Amino acid sequence: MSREAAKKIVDLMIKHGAEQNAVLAEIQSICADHEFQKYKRMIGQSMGCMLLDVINPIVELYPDLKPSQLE
Amino acid sequence: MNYQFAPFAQNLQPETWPNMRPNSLVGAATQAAEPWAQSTRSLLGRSNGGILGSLIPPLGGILGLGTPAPGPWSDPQTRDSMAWDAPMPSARALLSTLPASWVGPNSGDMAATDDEFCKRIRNMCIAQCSDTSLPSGNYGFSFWNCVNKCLQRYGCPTVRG
Repeated sequence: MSREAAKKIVDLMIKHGAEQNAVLAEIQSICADHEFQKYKRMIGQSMGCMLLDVINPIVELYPDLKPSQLE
Repeated sequence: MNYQFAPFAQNLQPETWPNMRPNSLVGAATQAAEPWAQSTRSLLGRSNGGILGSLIPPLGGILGLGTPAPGPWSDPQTRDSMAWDAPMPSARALLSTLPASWVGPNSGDMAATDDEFCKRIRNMCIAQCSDTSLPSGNYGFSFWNCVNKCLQRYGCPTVRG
């Protein structure tokens, strides 16, 4: 995978992660607690896959592409 | 019919129990005649008594032999000095101390165990971090950092493979 392609993918993951996080924050006020907990787990699964299957493997290959907010 | 019972005291000697082999787990002071006994002892980190040995005096008490000896409970200083809150060794560390014969000739068995262990840890970390770090005020990075740290804490890879 070229570095340029890898960067595009990482950027896409960050964008998607931010959107999922934002929607979760948005629906908090219109959901019952137990329902919101379920959505949190669902989004967590999705974002967890993005991290473990996409972002981390790319960062392992190209450490300089590691987002500054990622510790 | 006339039943013959052994004297009561004799029945209290573990050596006379038909299907029991004395080992370090019951706290009896035994000679390590077999390698497994020695391995178990070193694995559990007790020179005399194994896991239950820390609770039961080696030469006394219900499961012990001979005269009852005072247990650690009776002396408040001894009791309080025991490292109850010392960190437990990880499952991975314990697995790595097992003799090769217990886990198979190659590392296949260990790898399978390791995969299963880390798979569970991954699910647990994601669930835990979903509860504590979502939604976050920094575009979800708190969640991602939480998951990575959680996996590292348990010695599991942060890349699924």
